[in-house]
Amino acid sequence: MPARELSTILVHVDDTRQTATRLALARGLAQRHGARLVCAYVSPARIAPATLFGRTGTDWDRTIEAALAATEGHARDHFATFSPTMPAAEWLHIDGNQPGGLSDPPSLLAQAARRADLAIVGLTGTGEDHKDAPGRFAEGLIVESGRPVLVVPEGGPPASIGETVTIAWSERRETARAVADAIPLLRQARQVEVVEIAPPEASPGEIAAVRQRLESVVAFLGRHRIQALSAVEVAAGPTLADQLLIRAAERGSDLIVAGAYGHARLREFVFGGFTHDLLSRSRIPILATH
Amino acid sequence: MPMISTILVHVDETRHCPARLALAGTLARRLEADLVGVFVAPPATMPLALPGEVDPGWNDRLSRHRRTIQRQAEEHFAALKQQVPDAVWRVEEADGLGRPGPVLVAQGRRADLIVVGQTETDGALPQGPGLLAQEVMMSAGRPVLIVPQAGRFTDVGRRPLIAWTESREASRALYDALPLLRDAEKVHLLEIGPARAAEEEIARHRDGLATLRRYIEAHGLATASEYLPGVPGIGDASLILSRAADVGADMLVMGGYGHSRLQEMVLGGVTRSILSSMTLPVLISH
Repeated sequence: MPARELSTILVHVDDTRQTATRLALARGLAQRHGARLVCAYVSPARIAPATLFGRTGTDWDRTIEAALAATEGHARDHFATFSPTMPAAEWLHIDGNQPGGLSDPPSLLAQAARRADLAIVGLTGTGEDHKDAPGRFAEGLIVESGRPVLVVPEGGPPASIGETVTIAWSERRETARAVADAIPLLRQARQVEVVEIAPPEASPGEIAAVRQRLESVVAFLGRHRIQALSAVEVAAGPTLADQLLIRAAERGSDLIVAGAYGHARLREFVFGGFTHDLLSRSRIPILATH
Repeated sequence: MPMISTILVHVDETRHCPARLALAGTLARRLEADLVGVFVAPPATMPLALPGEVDPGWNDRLSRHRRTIQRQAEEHFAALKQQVPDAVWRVEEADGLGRPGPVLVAQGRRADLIVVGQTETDGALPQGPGLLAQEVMMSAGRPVLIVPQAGRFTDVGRRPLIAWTESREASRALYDALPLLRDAEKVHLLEIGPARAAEEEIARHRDGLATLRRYIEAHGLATASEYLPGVPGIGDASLILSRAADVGADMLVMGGYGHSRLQEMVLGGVTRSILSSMTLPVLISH
């Protein structure tokens, strides 16, 4: 049996309109790869302000229950609309109220994503009503799942994905991993460009060294039968992320591949400026791995 | 599952090297991957300006040493060439301190799998086992296959044991291992829980293993799984290695836990124990 590169794809379903975009994108990828599609919904944790304010067993509880039911209803509606277009797609309900305290929605979704080859998520993941900082939900999923995560920006479904690809290279383990993880999505690419942005003060010798490093990445992709070109840019934009996004947009890229990196601070992991800016500002889907 | 098209193997002068190369050769042939052998040459001159006068004899000794070990490494590689005629030989300069790690990391980022030994010396230098493996595992971002210093291993991935925990690292290791499991007879999953756990918690772990099996089976592989409570006084690493022997595993797949603190790598307890007492090849990802 020829091995499928992607056998299971997980897509996050919530009550936002963006869900329809993600589902359409996920269907395209699942069909292209012959993969199982799991549509995962995480119910919000039932935090109980009622007990905090001494109003137990009152209308307040019913209000919360009604709000939760409405949220889940919207998510189910999205799935119900989508389902006839892909009957094999599976619904996965993840209970946000877990015994033992694991109740952070990105963590719960990460647990399900560890049982998939690719996870697809939006920029916001907490519903229409409480907009978290864009990208935080996706970042949590990226850190905890250990899987490649495709972050889909706001807007309608992209016309294509993975035909013109920009790879943001840097000499880091996260980047190396992201490139390797992207290979299944690069199979149908017509143009792949591996870009590194060199510091503005880089000498011609340093730029030549960057070019050589990029060429070895191009050779690595070539051994996977993926044709790529390399490009070195010298930092000039307001931020590295902006410069990369501009380059990707100019080339008409429909996918950006990037390592997601940052540092651990106390108990939480914080992404660096580049990763956060890239995820939150991109209008092109990004495949990111930590 | 992703594919493996480039395997990078560390070639050195030690007596452990031939077994490592033979295993890398077998994998390269079975997976139809390109094989690159990298020898990292130590400096041929004194790397650091020492205070006082340097005995000019030192540089002679260093370059003689370098020639000797390179010749030995080349002999090891020549044997591999018999097995894999297309294998590519590369000599790279070590960094100023003579460490092979940074070179293997940089080259490894352009490969799908990195094969290193459990120890990189014949015991002449006071280096603990697994140091190179740790460094590469933590920094390359690619899976590392570590070949034990003792024993001969003809193939890996036919009867793998996956040491599972609900973590990013274990998830990564499993994902990275999939292409090596293409010809597996059965994939064994093992999760070790706390010594005592509520029924509910155990049921949750078993459910977790069941959904994990479904994921692996979607890749066309047969699976088995078990949940074991931990045993007080016996480390999880010992339990894992003992189960690996029981099921006749030919490879252990596990997450590599650790973090870098300043210049130093701090490994998790189980990872450290396995690296020092491993009895079978270990595929590890951070």
